[in-house]
Amino acid sequence: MPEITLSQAVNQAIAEEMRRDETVFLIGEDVAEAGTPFKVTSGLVEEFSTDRIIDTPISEPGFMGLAVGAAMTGSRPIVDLMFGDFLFLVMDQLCNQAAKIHYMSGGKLNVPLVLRTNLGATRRSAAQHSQSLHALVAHIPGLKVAMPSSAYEAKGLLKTAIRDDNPVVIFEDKLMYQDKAFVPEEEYCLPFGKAAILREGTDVTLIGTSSMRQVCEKAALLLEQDGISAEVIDPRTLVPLDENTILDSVKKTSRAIVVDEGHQNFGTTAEIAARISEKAFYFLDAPVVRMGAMDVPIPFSPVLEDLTVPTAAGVADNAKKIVAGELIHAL
Amino acid sequence: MPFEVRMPQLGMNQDSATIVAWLKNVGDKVTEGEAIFEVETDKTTMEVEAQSEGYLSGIQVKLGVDIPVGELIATIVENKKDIVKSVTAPVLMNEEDSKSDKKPKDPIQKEVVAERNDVPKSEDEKSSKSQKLVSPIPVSEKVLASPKAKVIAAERGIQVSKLRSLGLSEPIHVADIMGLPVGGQSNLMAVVDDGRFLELVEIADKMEKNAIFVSFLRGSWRLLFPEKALSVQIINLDGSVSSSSDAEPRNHEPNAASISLFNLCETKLFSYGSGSSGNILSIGHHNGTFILNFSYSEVEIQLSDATKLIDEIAERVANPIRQLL
Amino acid sequence: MKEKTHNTEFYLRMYRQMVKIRVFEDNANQLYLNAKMPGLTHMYSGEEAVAVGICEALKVTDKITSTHRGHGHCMAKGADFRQMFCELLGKVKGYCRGKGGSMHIADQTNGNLGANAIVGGSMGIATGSALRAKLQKSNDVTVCFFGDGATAQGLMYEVMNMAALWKLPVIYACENNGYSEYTSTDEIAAGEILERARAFGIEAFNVDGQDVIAVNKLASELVEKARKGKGPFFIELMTYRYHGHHVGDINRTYYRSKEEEAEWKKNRDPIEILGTFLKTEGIANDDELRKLYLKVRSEASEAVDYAINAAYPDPSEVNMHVFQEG
Repeated sequence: MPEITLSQAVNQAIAEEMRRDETVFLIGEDVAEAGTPFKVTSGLVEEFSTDRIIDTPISEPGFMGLAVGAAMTGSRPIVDLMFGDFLFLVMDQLCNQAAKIHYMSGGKLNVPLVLRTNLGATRRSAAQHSQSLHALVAHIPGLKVAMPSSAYEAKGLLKTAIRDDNPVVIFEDKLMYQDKAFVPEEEYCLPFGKAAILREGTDVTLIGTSSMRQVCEKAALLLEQDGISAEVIDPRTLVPLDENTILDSVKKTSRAIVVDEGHQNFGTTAEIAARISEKAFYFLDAPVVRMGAMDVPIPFSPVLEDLTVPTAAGVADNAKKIVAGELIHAL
Repeated sequence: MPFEVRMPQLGMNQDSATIVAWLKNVGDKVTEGEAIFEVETDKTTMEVEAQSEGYLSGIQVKLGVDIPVGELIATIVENKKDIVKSVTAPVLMNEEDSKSDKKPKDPIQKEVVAERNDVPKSEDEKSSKSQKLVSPIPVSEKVLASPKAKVIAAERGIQVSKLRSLGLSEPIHVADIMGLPVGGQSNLMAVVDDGRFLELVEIADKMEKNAIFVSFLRGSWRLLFPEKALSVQIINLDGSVSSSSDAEPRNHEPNAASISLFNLCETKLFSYGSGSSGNILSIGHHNGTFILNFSYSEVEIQLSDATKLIDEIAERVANPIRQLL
Repeated sequence: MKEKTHNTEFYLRMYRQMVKIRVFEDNANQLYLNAKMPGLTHMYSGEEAVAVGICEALKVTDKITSTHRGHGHCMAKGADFRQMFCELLGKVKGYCRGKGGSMHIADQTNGNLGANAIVGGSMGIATGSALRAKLQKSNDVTVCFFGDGATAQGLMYEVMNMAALWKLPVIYACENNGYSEYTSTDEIAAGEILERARAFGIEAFNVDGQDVIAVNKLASELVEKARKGKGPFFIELMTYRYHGHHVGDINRTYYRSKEEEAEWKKNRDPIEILGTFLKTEGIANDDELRKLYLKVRSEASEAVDYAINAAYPDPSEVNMHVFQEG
């Protein structure tokens, strides 16, 4: 099985789906010749021409709105939003329009679009280019949210997203574009709402989204040296969320740590932790721990920026404490 | 001071590039802004300009090899006499390595010794230091235990509210419960001659007998366990429970052990053992003897303590003088 | 394409469409005043010629997007009384199963992509529909209805820019009724509205929005050009809304004088204007027009009764249609 980068995986997914369905097109800034600043879509314009790989002016609300209208009337657009931070610019078209049109029309109109954007800090890009905002859109009924954690998930989830008849927001970690993973040569799609258990364990469940999956896997290795057996779960999609896999795991281990790159307050970790507390309460031997990014705008200075995101050592530390029955917060 | 020519960062996601052509040779004069070599990144070929004026010197990389951003390529020297011939540097990295999955190298990143503190921030920084709370003064009225610990305790017939008297540190976890003896009642029985007792407390009615027994119980406890508080209840024949007549003011001491006294002397019954949790001392009278039956929870009172206690009480029933000593 | 000159049937049809809108709005207003309608709605009365003139230039496969003041567009694009009243009352037989209401009413089979509660919110959608038409070479045109107030929204400029760059088959129809909620247009729009479109190289036209024949003539020309790939276009239609911003906006003399309202109703009423034309041309007389009006009115009354007695959606529908399943 070949190893390809996340960037290549995304490129392949788009190309395959565009070959399969001629109503699919890609729209965004610098997506054609330039292949986006991250070079993810390089080469597509050669195969599909500028008719289907469309460069836009710097008009995020504008081309988001265009995508909604095109999707409502028979196209299947993929919107490339250069940085996840620009989500704020497209919120009306995405959340007031795309998310609600199917419902408001009583099921008669639908919006099969994919918004591809990114997340992830520690790139020294400072506060307005480093945010992980998936919690914002996961909060809006009518939007599906996918969080690929490697090239393998990136390809499979994106293909599913493109085939889904609903608006899907998919977040790629911008620091992982050159990271490789084994990706099957045969065609495959990954279903939404199905989490992956990457490592089985008995003492604590580590739930990590996107790049935090690798953080949890590393933490599990560190914990192994201390005789602690950690189970690692990648939810893969936030909406729909595979609760059952997570709950079954926590019922087995009685302890959970949720790790995510969004801010800790009012975010993804809070939602998953709340569901665990609600639905697996009587199986818990320790409070469910949230580990998100610090609740500060991401600072520029590398010394400071690196403090703001969860690390494997930090996850392992917390896991050791709760396995030992130590308190993380005072009584 | 020679000016260092290093591989520049040419694109957002680019961490290395290949030099495909030299536009200037070692010894050539270069001016600022003049193109000195061509590099190829993922998709494009670009010219790289000299950032200083002088003579190109000491090229130390090969053509066609992937070179990481920031690597030293050559120098530009002020004086002709300082020119160094090309040095073919050892191959900087393997072909395979250069395509490996490395994040964009940040020169500063390596030096940073980031003090990681991943403990979730809470309002009270000081007390958020991790700790297992061991405190003689309980934090709350309730005994704190994890949900799973409570479930297992219930399954094992252990009353969580009594666990504080065992000196377990809170919050109580599953491991603490698993370390306890499985719940259920244990039984100790003592039989003593009634002679001396009856002499001393002739024709005392039941009420006064209760008071005497309670004082024997308290006296024994105080002798043996002066540090531990005890609260005593009376079980009446109709099943109701009343507090003992000499109720101490601190009856609601949360840490207090609790023993109920069941006086069966006026009946034909001489022993009562309870299947549910709780500590009950029943005293019956039969055939010239007093029969003391202590049904107790091993979780709350250890076997060694129980034997001492009942033995002492039995001694006092046999020889009431002992109580006065 | 129909031959429009001296096409009496066509003129009568336009007249009837405008009457239907007027009657619908009268009924809707009553439903509100009688506390039978949940929420608020926004009356189109006075602007009928705009919706009818333009929609009569469109095929059923052409698309429109509408505004919060959307009953006129909905009706003009082919909707029927019953399903519209049902939607306003939140009944399951409404166009949106009662889930959209007045401000989100959509009629997908007739190409109405929906009213929009966000001012200017449907501009992206309309332009996107046109993009799709171009990509799929499907030959249909999209009309974007919006008010003068929406020219203050940034989105309009973004999408006009892209429409002009890519020559999309979209027509931007600005219904300038002189007021943006409770503020007059000259207090919210600097410069000229038409110049905004011209700045992007988009051909822009002004027309009397109360003259349905003039509106229709201009619209037909532009629709055909757009269909041939010569779009986009921009039309500013001068019109007037008789009612307040919404049905509850009753005491409004602080921003609009009663004299002004009376002037428009008396001298600039679109139905009257076409009526006069029909009579002058000998196409219909007072009697026939009156009969037509009464017939429409009775159809509407029947539809109102139908809607009032119609069923609400089952509670289980609250969870339906969040996502398209399958």
